[in-house]
Amino acid sequence: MAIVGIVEDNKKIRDLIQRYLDMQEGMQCPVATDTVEEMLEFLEEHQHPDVLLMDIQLPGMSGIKGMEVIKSKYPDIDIIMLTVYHDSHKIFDSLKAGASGYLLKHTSLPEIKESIENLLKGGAPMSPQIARKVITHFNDQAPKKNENSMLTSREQDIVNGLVDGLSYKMIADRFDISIDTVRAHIRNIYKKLHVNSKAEVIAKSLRGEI
Amino acid sequence: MLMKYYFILIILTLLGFDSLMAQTFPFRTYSIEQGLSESVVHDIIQDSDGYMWMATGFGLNKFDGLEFKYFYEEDGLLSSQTETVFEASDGKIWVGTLNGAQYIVDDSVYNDPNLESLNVQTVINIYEDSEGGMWFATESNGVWHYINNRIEIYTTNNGLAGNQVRDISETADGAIWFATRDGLTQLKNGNFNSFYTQDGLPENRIRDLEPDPRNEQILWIATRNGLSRFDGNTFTNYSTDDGLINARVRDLAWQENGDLWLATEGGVSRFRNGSFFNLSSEEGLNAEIVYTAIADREGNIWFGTFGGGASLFLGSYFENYDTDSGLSNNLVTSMAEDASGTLWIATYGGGLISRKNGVFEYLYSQQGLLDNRVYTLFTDSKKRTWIGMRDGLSYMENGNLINLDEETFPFRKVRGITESEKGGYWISTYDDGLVRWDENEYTQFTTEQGLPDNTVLASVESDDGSLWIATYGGVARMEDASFEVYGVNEGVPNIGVMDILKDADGTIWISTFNGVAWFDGVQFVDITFEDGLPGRVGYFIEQDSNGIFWIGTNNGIARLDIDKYYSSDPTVRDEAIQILQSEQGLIANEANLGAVYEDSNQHLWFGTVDGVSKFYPEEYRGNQIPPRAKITDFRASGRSYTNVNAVLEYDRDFIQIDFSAINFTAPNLVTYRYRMSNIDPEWQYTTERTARYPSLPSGSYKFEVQAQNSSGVWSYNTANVQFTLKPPFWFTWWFLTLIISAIAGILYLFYRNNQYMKMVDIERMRVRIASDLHDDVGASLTEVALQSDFLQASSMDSEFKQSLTQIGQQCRKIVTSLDDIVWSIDARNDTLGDLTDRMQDYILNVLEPLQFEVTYNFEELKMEERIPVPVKENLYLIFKEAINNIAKYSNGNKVDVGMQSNGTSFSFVIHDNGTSGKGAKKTGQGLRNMQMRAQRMNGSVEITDQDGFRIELKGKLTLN
Repeated sequence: MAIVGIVEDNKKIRDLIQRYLDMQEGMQCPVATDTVEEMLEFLEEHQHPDVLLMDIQLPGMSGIKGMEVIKSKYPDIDIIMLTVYHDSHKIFDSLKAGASGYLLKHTSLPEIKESIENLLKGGAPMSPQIARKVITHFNDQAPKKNENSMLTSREQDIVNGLVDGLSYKMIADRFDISIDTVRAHIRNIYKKLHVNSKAEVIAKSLRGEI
Repeated sequence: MLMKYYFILIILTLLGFDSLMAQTFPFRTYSIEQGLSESVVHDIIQDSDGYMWMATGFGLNKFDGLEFKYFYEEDGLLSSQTETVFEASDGKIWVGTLNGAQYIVDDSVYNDPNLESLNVQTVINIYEDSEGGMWFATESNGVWHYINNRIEIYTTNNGLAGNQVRDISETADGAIWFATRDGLTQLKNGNFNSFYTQDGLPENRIRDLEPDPRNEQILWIATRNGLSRFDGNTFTNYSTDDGLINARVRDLAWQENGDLWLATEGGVSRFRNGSFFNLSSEEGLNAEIVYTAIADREGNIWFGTFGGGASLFLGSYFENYDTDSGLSNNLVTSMAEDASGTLWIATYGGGLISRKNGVFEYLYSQQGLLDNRVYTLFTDSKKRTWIGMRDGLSYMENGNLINLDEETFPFRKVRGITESEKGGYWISTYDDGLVRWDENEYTQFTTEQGLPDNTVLASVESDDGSLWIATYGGVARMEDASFEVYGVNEGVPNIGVMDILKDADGTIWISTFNGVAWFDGVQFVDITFEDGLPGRVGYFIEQDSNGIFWIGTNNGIARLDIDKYYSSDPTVRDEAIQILQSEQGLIANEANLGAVYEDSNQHLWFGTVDGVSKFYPEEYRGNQIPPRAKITDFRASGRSYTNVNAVLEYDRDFIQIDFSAINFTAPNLVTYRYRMSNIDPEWQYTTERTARYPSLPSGSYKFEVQAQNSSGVWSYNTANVQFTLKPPFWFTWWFLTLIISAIAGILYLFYRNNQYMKMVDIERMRVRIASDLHDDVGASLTEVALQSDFLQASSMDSEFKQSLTQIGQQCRKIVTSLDDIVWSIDARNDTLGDLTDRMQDYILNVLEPLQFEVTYNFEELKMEERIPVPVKENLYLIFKEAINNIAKYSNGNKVDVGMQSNGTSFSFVIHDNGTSGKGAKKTGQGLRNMQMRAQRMNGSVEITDQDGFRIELKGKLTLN
């Protein structure tokens, strides 16, 4: 049974997603709050959801900040960011904060459900826009040379493929691997992005930049 | 009937390996990794504004505790190799370089034309005498005296002992002194007079001169063979035989308290009351060769080193021990002195460590200890030291270790031991509640007797004879075997209570998972993170013999002066809680439960997850020097303004102000408060160094900021910035337009009517309207779409279902269009890279499911190149139209998308290999739209249908 939580300040949207997910077999959505703060309170006292759907623009703590906080306390929770805009800057920020993927809010309910299932199976979506940002991000990191947080050459291949506009299927064909492997790689890239950004934050704070 | 089975072991013969202890002291390194321009530091000064200046082998650095500013040749320096830096009485910062000397005022480098002839010399020292004359010491050409626009050069020809002059100084009698490589020279009343080894100097190679601040007749001299003191008649010499760390002394620095610090080629020495205290790399200094030393105004000592950058010594108030310096384990849980005065350190996993005369000895399970996981130590009035472990209870007496066997004392996880006034002991256990232990007998108290929880961490007897007990279910007070429980309703900040204390006045204090609290006779009064503790979790609380409370948190130690805390004077109140963290030398910020101890010398021991820190309260003076607040950047809608009283256009209403403070002791623990006139009714407190005001209304503003250091001292100064935001002339009808547009809800309004709006800032307005529409209308449409999904999930007839599907699709289509419009007019997405990414995304969504093979030809584009918003918008919408046409009408399976640009003009091509769909449909509305959009961006579109359908668009990348 996958447990899903929602943080979304639009009550109607929140209720609809919650009710729909609750109706699905193998899914349960016991908590839907309109702020990160309420979700944190819930997490302290209850079993953790496997997946959190999280809006970005929220009253109180922003979704991006909230993601950082939740990820630092409960690293096992997968967070999917819900966004109104297809805004690559915000999406990328949320990925750095630890999101495992993102969904546009008007995505249909069956698709939302499918994305959650995919995520739990180990998949994660990445668009060309995001892929390009990933490349720039890791290139900027290159001089710092932290081997563990740099992309492997296969991961680099996959990101390059995404920038070229290849589908997961085409990337899988090109490198003779399965689509699931591509997904797993992308998932790993997200993880590195998060680790990397954390390291960046620490380095910055040592230098007194933040 | 209890049988007494004690295991007695003679521990003195069983103690483990000895290890010579080497404690480390709190040094903080500023080298290349931290931003210093080079790791070889020749000279350091602090200027009158508080900045530290560091002359390095490559670049001059100006440092405020957080950020470095650099000066190199490209900034106007005669050479990037800087040797010395000096602040003159007029505030000029003089810098001596490989090629002469210059000065800096307001961060600009100036040359003094009179000093041009000095540019062939390496200037290794600069000095200003009491008459305002400047002195420049050179590496090979004596010393240059500059006064009244004239230069005099003095060399060995004039009586100088040597031509390499390392330092210049002046004594109270008006004599100027020169440290040369070949002796010490005095200039007095126009006469040069030199001193050498035959006069009593230990060496002729002199490095530094410092008059004694307590008696400026006396000169202290750093030589290549020790320290020398000259009182006008005789030289008194101090060498390594007297305890000096290394004979080759490079530099001297006086500290305000009268300590003299010596930088040598083998570490540093502190000279106090005739004896030396030495620090080398073993104690945490980050290099052996130290070129220079200086005391800053906060009382810290800076060392400039060869290869290790600058090393900041924060004072000798912390001494740190961890596994590197000899501990068996870093999880230090408790400390206690035994009857002989030996200090025992308990670790969780590494048994016990004793420390006497600087030597560590170990007591492990191999030597008979019940368990290496020790929780607590306690020495009772009978001189027995009790050991509470995860696996039972023991004590040491007269060098014997006595383990209580399971029958005698059947409880594990002993977390706390206290002695009762009436004799006997109170033992706190983690699982079995509280146990009263009277040598042979025990009585157990658990929830059955009324204890709120069986996890008991500590207990203390109060003056009235009742016992206060810290449990994970709150505080319990036991009187005559009956319990009274204090929980959240009685003011306990969190029922997870970890430590309990009776202070010198008899007041009961507790530390909990949410700060500390004291009992006022009726209920508890808390002091938490919100009141200024550095962390939320209070692992321990202790009062030292001076009445100061020490609170160990998950984020450093708090020093609480309770009288100041309840002072009515806010400035006194601000200084009540002082924070000690790893930044000031504490070994780690995460304390351990109950791990605090004041030894018989009134030194404090703090146990952490990474070792133990010994704290010398007598050396700690706090940081009484206020930080200096300053504004570092003022930005309006992304643009920086440096002018005073800037007048800004109405649309520059996103104000962001960066500020910081000059503080070196704990730059990251500085707190700020700021306020914007007419906006903030009160000071806003923050630890961040930025204040943001999005969409400020028009008007005149003054922004003020102050800073507070880790000891609670506020800056004297208030940094401020003033500016004016002009009112927008179109404000009222802009608003009207927004309302009308929103009601009409027709996007075409601002596409069709844009001539009407051209006079105003059209992009900005579009973004606003579109975003607002998108947010409001988009959210509602999303609701509708989701609602339709939801309904479809239930069973209903198929026709009905179909309309629902259509409603959902339609809503999503509108939201997508809105999203596209918002994107295309959002100025942040204005590079070719953004555009091509978006195109790829679109194709991925639209053509990919239709099995088209898409080839991109964007290789020659410069992805960072910016494109004007109207070009981007129209180009993207034409592209979309074309892709939609292909998706709808083409029977092909291949699409080429390409774009080329030479920086000023571009061509964009979409080509598919379909053969159908020619004719009426393609000349319809869609194609007319494309033509219209091409015209809008002053471009042209050419559509052909040989070998498939081809659209070529040409235009300019500039607006005009």
